[in-house]
Amino acid sequence: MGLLPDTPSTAQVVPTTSGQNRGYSPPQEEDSRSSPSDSTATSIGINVMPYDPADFPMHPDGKPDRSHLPPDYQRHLAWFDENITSFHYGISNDIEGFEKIIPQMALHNEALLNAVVGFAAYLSTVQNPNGKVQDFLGYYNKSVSLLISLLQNEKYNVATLMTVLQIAAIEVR
Amino acid sequence: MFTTVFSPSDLMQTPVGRICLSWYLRYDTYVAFLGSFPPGLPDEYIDSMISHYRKKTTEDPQSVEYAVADRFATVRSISRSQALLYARRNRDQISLEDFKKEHALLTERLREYRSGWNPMLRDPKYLVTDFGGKQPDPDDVVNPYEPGILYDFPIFNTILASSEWHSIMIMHLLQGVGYSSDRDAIYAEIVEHAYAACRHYATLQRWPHTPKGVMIQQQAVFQTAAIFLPRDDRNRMWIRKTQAYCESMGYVCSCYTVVNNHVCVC
Repeated sequence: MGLLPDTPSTAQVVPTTSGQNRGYSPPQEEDSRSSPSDSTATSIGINVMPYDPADFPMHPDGKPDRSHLPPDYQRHLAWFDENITSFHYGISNDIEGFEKIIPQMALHNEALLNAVVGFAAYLSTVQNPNGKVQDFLGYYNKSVSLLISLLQNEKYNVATLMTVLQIAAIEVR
Repeated sequence: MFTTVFSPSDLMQTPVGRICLSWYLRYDTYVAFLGSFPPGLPDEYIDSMISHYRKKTTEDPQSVEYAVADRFATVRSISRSQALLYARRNRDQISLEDFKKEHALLTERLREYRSGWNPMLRDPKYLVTDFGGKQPDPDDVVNPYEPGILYDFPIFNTILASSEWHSIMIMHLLQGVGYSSDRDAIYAEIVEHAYAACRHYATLQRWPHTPKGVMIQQQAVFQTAAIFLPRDDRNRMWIRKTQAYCESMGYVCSCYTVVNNHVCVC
């Protein structure tokens, strides 16, 4: 299986409407203990949108309609539903329904969608004796490309953050 | 990015916020340990998490879920303190004497954390004692069927917390062994924790009701512990067989690991 065609997913990305900045700027420390990650987004001119639940409506029973997605996406997300738990993410104390919320959030962001599908494809590939690495690399590559585009051109939001974390879930094993 | 998407005050108000914090913390502390610099997330976020779950456990003291979440928040707080202490030591920002004092304090915090678990999370009525009469394989170096560490749901999570604690103790004791006057005793304790962590791993591996994903999550604990098992032929073979099992799930085991500036060969 080669890379996915370079056409956008049919998943509709819901634009964020929240304009209120409820972000947090930690107090600047003078000593040299500050890590490189302490720099705030505004210091490098990137607009980060605070999380607003209204931007990411959740389906009440956790089963949103995925029929608009390509069949392979639907298949991998169905595999995700059946086989992936919060433990796959290194989280032992899930009282939030981690593995239900992540795929729902993914329907609102193409980069996150590809990262989640890639994660499911990765885990199903390694469990398949005949699995091929390109089975998941296509989704992974597309997610990374979309993420880079977001980082360069658009506002960050919680889905961007989750895309980074989802890609890291494959990278840091 | 994280601190602009979420503020400490609204982080814990939504499931997505709580999920992102749990998720992000895993990498924040991990990177801090690896890079030997302070965790990136400000303490206000951790304080917000701790106070949120403390409030919930007070409001609902019978809730197992909140007791588990409170335990998680506590150990994450300790881990951050560890990462910060080691970073300061590695950057020569703390004197040797102060490091030894703070290291000892953290050791005590870790032991108190372990012994102070909510009794609800160690309720013996959930202890798994029936393993179907199974016995360890001849080449097992630990007994995966020995009762005492595995609890059934809803407190199954306790074995994971226990496994994690042994792993944390190994790394913490290792950080202080170079400054101790009794290295043999510390190494002996490290080996005890290593065997305990391996026993946890083997028990989870053999229990038929272990949830999906747990063994993948536990691989890091096993990899840490395996380094410190005594190097005899029996242990080596058991480690290699267990690593082969890890690899079958997609985990790539390096043949050597750099721990505390020492190369350890498995």
